[in-house]
Amino acid sequence: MSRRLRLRVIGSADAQQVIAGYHPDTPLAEALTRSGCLLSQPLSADLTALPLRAVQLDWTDIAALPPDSPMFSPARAGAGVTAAAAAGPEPGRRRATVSAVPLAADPASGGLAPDAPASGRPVSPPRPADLSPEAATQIAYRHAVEEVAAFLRADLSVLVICEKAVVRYLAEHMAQAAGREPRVIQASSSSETDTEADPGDGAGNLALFNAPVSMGQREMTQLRDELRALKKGQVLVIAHLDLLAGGADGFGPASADIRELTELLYASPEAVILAFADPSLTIPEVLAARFSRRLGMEGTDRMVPGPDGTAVPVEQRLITQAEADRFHGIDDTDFYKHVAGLNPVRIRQAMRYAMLVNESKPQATARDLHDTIRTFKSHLATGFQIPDTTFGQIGGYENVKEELREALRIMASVQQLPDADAKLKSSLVPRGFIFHGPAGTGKTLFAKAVASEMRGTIQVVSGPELTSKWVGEGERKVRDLFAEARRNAPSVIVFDEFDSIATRRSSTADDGGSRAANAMVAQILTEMDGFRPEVPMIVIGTTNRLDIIDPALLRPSRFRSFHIGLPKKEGRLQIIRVHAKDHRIDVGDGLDEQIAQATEGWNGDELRSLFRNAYVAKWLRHVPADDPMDRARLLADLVSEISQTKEGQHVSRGGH
Amino acid sequence: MAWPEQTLATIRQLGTVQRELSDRYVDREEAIKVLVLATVCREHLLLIGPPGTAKTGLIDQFCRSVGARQFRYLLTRFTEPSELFGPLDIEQFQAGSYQIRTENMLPEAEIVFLDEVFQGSSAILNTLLALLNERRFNNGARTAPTPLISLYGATAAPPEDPAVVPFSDRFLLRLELTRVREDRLGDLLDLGWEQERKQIAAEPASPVQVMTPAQLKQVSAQLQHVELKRVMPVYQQLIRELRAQGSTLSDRRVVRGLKLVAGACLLRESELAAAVDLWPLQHFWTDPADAQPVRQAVADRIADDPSTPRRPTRTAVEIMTMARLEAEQPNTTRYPVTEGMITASLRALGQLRRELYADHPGAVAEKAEIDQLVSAVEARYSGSGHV
Repeated sequence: MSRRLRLRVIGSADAQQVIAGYHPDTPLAEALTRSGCLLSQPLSADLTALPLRAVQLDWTDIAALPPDSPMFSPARAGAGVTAAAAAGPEPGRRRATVSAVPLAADPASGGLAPDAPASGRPVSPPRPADLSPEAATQIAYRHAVEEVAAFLRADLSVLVICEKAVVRYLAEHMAQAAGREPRVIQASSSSETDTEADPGDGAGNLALFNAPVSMGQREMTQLRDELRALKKGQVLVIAHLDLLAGGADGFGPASADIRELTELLYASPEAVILAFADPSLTIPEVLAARFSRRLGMEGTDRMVPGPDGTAVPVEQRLITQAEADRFHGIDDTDFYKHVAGLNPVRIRQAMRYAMLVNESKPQATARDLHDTIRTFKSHLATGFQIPDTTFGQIGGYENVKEELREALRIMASVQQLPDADAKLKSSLVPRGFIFHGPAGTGKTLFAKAVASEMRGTIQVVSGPELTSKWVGEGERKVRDLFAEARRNAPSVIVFDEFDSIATRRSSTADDGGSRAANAMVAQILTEMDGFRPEVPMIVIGTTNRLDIIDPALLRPSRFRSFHIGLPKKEGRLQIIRVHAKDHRIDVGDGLDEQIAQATEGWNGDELRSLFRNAYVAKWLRHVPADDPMDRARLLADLVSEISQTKEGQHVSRGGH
Repeated sequence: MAWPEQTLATIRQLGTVQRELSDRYVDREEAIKVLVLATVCREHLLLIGPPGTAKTGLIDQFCRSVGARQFRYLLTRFTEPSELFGPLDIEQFQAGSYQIRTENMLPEAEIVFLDEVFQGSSAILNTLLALLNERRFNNGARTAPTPLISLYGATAAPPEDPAVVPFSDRFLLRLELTRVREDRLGDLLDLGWEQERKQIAAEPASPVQVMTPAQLKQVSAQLQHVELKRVMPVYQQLIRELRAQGSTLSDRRVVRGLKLVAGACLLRESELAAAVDLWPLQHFWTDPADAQPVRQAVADRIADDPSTPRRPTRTAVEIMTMARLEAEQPNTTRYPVTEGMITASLRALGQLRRELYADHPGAVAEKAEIDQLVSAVEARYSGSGHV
């Protein structure tokens, strides 16, 4: 038994008797105060909570002390005390006056500036000076970590679905948070198992037995050994369960790996296992059933626990001081909107990228930060791009623009609603738009403009991209598409030619293809129903054939439909002006009015083709067009050409 | 029904006394525990060990802490009964009655310590027999009750003479005391020198009394309320096993053993006796040859029982505080730092580190810190040969 700590205590014999009668686990400071003892030295902070049994008390009688020796009360640890000479007439009586200066205990969170908020400043707590990806992950996912730790403490196995980037920082941390020792299964880096074959012994066949063992087999062996040797109080951590399970896609018979793994895991039902899997790879259900709890961790939450446990906006915890100084005006609502779908490791990468890119800018604002993050996100995925069209670039259609703007405004401000109406929030946010109307009226363009207005990314998907000859593949592609969109939030998914997949579900499903398409629509609807109001996402469908779209989709709670018809004269005028500017054809002096007059019933695409042809004629065929008269003649020719083509099509269609 | 407040206070005071005694004497924790138990159960204890192993010192300090009247004597073959029990009252004798004056002698002591107890003559042993059994002293024609709580006998070697076997059977508890282990020699010298210095400086005798014998008596009276139902089957099994092994356990011993178990339970502040309270039975063998098997059997029983709590652990915070203070020692000591001091610090740190690793496997930050402290102290050691 190691020696106890010795402490000089000043007190009477009675106090000694009383303190001897306290429970051995009483905290030291409490025991000393209750029994009325004093100390000859101030009690340091880490000693106050020590149990009584850990301390050996050396007693001194108060009368035996020299008159002006200082005495300290154990009640206020670390406080400075002055012992005043006794005011009373009896010599030898002391009174210790205690000036209490409570020292704020420093929370042991590495990197935080030790600014004690004792005076109640209404300023936000200081940001960390530096944030490693590990710290960022642990801060952002603290709730999840605590939940998993609680399960582990109760000896229940947990399966965590999260992206591989964060597994590294969470694997051991979760086990340690539960107070258990982690035993991690990981691919060993040693190459000793790659034994050299030694054929020189005459037994050439042995070379086969000494073939290098693959990483997967090594991990299986390691898993088997660990499971056997697992003791109570240890947790087996499998960092990549989905890779061990052979990365199967759930179809086809289970591979040998999966069978072996399943049998191994079920053979030790009392072993506490913590496993991680990626959301994009599937795990066979039988394997997943071994775990008592499945936890999905996607993106980042809006509010993360602060150092003292209360919820603070994520931007206060995941942005360092230097970054906050660089970008002025980081508002928490806007920031979260742009990083909702990114996991904390990615957020840190995005911030580093943003710092790098904006290094030379003297006055970078939050808007620059958001733009840079948007660029970063678009580089992450191949499908999503940043749109370059804005509402301003679309001519006409004022009422449609106004309605869209209104919907986006609702989306942006839904967070400010009172919390009591939380349930309403998700129903208020618009989830989908359907743009219908004749061909060529700029529906896809509108979708891009919407994405631009949201300051998000956009992915345009057409029907054939999603369908595949394998049954069920379509649904999987839809699932992956939405998962990607969530990661890149805010984002817009545009289903071009929506009618190719969203056809009216017919009761006579004699065509296998339509059955598959129905399943895909169902999947889209399921995904849309699962939208979280904090992750800004919109689905837009464009179609020329509203009549064959399933009416169930046109419910206002799902898709709001917008009719984008042929432009009126005003609209045509605007469109003409826009295209003329783009194609560098001068339509001043009323030429644009005349063209607008002449192009009754034309759509935007046709107007653009007009100017395209004009451009080609002017610059490539060198038709003279500098003179206004020449220009007018050229344009008139082109108008009539296109009109004839339209007439021809009209006649061929049989006059519809 | 929990124990009354006063009982609990007294039990905790006994705990404090135990800890204070442990501070003074190296490697005597088990002995002190048995000492306290003997007092609470009002049973007699036989200390077996060579001279100079702190038997006298321990009992002396203990009596002082508890405030009990102590009588101490070293017996030889030639000791007269009057040396123990008192001289003859001459006046009374002249008046016609045979009486012994027992003031400040053995019959009036609460705790008696007799060194080399088996050296006493048969007259002494006979008188003691009655004293041990009934706590009554035959003073001439009358028998007077004595305030005896416990009698501690010491002997260098266990008794072999068959004539004294019934006498030695009266000592329910046996305790073997040996020299301090080699690795604790440093601590022994430190503590011992401190005691010597205090004596030379003629400081007021400490420890100060923390309780009274009356409180002890009151606690002993609570023994009757301990519930032994649950532990009875285990106890029976243990006795059968020990007897089958060939250990001599008289019936009196077996029944009195229950009192020891009740005492252990009471000292644990519990009312329901459990297997963990069987630890006193490690000391209730008769024949020294039985000592090892009895100890082993009892230890097995205690360990096998599922209700036995794991050994009490200290919190990680506590361990770290101790570790930090230990690491600070070489920096804050008044004396010039020697190799021995560093070694002692390292040993203490090593012990704390083992405890931390065993009891708190998940405390990563603390583990790292303690490793750092160890290497810091080590650096002082190897940095310069003469520090």
